Amino acid sequence: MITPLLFLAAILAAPKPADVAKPAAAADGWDKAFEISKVEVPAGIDDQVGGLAFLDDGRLAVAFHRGEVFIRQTDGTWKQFAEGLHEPLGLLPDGKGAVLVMQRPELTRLVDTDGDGKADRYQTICDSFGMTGNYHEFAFGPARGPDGALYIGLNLASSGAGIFKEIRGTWSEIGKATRENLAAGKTGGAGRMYGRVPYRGCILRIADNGRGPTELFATGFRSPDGIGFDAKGHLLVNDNQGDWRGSSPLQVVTKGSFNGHPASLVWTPGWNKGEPLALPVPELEKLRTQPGGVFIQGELSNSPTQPAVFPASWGALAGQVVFGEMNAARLVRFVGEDVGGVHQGAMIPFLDTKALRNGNHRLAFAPDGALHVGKTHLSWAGNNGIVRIPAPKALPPLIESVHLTAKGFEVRFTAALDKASLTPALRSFRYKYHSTYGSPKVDELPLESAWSLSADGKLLTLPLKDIREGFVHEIKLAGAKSTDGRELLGPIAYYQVVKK
Amino acid sequence: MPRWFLTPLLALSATLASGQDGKLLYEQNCAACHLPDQMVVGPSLIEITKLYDKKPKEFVVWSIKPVKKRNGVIEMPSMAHLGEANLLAVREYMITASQGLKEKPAVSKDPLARPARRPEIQRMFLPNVGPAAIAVALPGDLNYTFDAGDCRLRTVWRGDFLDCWAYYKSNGKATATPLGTTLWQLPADESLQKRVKFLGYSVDAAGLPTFEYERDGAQFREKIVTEGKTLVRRFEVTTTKPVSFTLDPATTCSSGTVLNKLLTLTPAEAKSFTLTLRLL
Repeated sequence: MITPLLFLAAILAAPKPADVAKPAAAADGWDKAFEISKVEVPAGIDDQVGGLAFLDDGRLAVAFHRGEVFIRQTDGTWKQFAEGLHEPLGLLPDGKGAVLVMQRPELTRLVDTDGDGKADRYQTICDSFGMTGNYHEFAFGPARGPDGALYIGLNLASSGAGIFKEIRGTWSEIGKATRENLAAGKTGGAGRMYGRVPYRGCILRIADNGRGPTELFATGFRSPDGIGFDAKGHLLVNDNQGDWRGSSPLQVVTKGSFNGHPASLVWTPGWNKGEPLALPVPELEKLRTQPGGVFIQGELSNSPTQPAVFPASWGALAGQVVFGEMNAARLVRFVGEDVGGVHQGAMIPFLDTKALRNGNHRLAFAPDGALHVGKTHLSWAGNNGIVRIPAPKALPPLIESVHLTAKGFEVRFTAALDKASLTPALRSFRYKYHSTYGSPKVDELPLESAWSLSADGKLLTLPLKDIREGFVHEIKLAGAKSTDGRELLGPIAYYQVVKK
Repeated sequence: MPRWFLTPLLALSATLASGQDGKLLYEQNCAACHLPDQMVVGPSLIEITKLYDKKPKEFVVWSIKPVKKRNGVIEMPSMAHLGEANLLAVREYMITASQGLKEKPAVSKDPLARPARRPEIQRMFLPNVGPAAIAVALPGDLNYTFDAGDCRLRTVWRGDFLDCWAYYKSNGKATATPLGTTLWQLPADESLQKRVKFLGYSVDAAGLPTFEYERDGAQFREKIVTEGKTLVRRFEVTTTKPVSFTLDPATTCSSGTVLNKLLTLTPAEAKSFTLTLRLL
């Protein structure tokens, strides 16, 4: 029989729940609504996460900064699956005993052919792209499309450094900086970001799950760290604020599209317009596909990362997309819709809490629905390790979706809102498209709306006169509360109108 | 920029942006590259404070129009979008936030350094090879680099394996250092890249890799082992045409015909042969 005193002693002696990350400040609404805990990582490694995914059998596979791949076994222990990779920055399961890993020089299939739990074959799936040795030539992916093909993203080089004397791939003579100067570390005239070997700044498609030929799929990227498909099969690729990137864009990528950063235009088949950086901006503007969403610099994300699709266990969010963010302790949801043949939508802050911490790089949902976030920094702002966020039993008050109508916007909530707490503040703005790093918000326009809330308190209708194509429309609902007094979490949405 | 332009803006700054704004603006715009007590992408707040402690105007001018100042450090993007008043608030915050802090010295040694597991394979940026290099530590004290770009053995060295700390501590803006003495190396020949296709490698039970690649349409398998003071390259080549190698003075072959340093093997001879590299 357990006496009350012994029972108390037993509780005190019991091991504490594993390293629950507590916020430095007082618990906020997010921290109350979601449970964020650390996942134990393999001992003795640099636990910056480059790739993270759940295998078909439910085990977690993670690729780390120094080139190891570990798999967490069903008993919770980690077993090393592979090692020696060069900066793996993406991992995708590929059937029993195999994973695909994107490393700097190639997309590799790691196969355990003898079933001992360790990869014994490192099969090169795609290395038909150039490398100059410039640190910024990271490689991302792969994402598997509904067409069964694999998609990878290749970074441009950065003028923060030159190139190696010996390179892989055929050097492009288009560009002011000479190969000799760049090899000597002199980057003058190169452009802030440059791509002088194929197919830097591009998305490549490798048919038939990597067994088929590789083709150039799209151009126009700078640093496409986040690449993935949404539930409806749109290829979503984000990019990082910088030159030609006023604020980090979300590109909805189609075959043959040019997605904004000019350096990679030289890889367009039949390119005959010379140095793309010298083309007039209006000409580039005509060529480019506008982003379907914008990660607002500062407010939402300075360095967006991998997209993941919410599973059914996340209730009203199921099928929506969530992105990581490196710079801030926050994630970002994207709620997209097709309007006039264009996929566009709203960015909404998610898990905007210090308890999450920053460096949110690789996202995957476990079979039980728990979101796992792997962190990295690579010497920029960021973090390390892995955190786990189970699907909540019930969602807190959130903006569920934003829908563009012929008359304005409709904002749906996960809980009934108290009308008295609503003071919608609306405006639209855009960012400059130019070679300069970043952009201020420009052409701002405050918007007025004779808004109304539905009888059930879950649908806010915002009639608007001045909806502008090519502009972000900000819907701010600061101070909004549910009818039972809970704060609306992430009370702001940024809808990028490409088509109205 | 004319000096008169800044003066009225400086006067306005106190009312436009508060210290709290400075913290938020720093977090949103600067923190990715500037940590309080440590150089990362850019200098620490301690160093910035030293540079601009009594120089608010210079801070604003620099932030609006930065130039490349330090070797091996990227040029800061312009922060013109923040405006002078906000930049001054950022500077105030940087001074406050760095108070009492001491600059952390750069970590010069790898905290996770360990002896090489022999054999061990590590793909890495390395000197004297192309960027798609694969370093291998063999049992004993020999190490080599196989270049996946031209599909050739490129360097051999004796000693501890690699010091990759310069790479690992950052984002790859440095090559690793092979430890010990270089015994042999081949110069670059980028023209080979068009003739080869790297297919990957398999790892045997002992942990040794066998590289697989195509060259001029022939299928190569190459495994490199040590035998005494030699490095033995065991080849299995599937080909319908003769294959050839240019032999360097340190290399001998187990079969084939050598003419003017050019080794030629018939398809039958190429099925299984070795090249032996004598090392000092």
